[in-house]
Amino acid sequence: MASKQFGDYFKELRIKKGLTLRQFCEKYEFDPGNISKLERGLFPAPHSEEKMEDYAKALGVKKGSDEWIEFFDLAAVSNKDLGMMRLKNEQLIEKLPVLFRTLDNKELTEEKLDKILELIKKA
Amino acid sequence: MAIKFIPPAEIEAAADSFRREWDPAETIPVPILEVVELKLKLNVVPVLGLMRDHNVDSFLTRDLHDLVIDQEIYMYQENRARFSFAHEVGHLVIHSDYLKSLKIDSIEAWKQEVLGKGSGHAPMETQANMFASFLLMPTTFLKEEFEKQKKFVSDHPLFKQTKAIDDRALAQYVAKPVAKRFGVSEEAANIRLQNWLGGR
Repeated sequence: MASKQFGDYFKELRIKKGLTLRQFCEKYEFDPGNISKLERGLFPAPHSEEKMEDYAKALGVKKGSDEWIEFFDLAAVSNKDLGMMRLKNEQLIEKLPVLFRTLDNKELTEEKLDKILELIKKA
Repeated sequence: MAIKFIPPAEIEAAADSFRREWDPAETIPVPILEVVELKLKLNVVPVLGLMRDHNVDSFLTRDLHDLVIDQEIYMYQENRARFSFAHEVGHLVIHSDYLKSLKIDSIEAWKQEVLGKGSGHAPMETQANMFASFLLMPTTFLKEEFEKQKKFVSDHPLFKQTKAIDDRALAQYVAKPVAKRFGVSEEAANIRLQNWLGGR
């Protein structure tokens, strides 16, 4: 069984607070794209202790609690994995969309798909 | 696996069943963002410029784990985001077998699938839109709201002069309050009302 990742734990705590990504980011003025990447393990935990404490506070983690310790421990491990965070090719293929909700059902072209592919790599 | 026709009644039953399973309290407006994020626990991936640069509102990744949505829509256009979420849930509920059956093992195979099918996927988009419409505006609640608004509008002097008011004509006058009640756009409410009244 895969061990718990920092991003998984972050998401678990946010869901425990009953906040959607949008509600969480609106309430605490975080960038939703960055938080989504953090939760999906595509961004490492921040190095800054101040930022980490901001996140912990927003997630309702009390200083010195077991949750606090786990939160910071997982963050430390996440930072060690820094070089492994890009999507591998087989993972990328799993992330490719087949059905698109497009404006006025406009047809897609190969050029558009190439651009969408680049976007998915960065998302 | 072939793309198949799904009768509207079947799509409505799937939407009702999904809604009752994940929101047994039958809340209106249907808390679709909360259901998707807090109960189904799908990852939401907000992407800047998805609509502006690519004309794409949202999509579901092939592994069915991530819902990718234009960031502006997600953060600032709540009704549109709600419809997009409901639309993607439609794919998840009624098209997941089809999506799982696809053999895509390379970028080229993916392009072939998307471009090769071309407009072949269009009916699936229509089905997902129908699902979203049924999910966000369940018939029982829609009927109740329509009757309430109909009574309100009928009391207006403009309509008091008219003997028999056609429900479908009236629908356009009540679409705005109906949209507000269900957390959808006025256009989505009008389409749903017209389809419902036309099919009674």
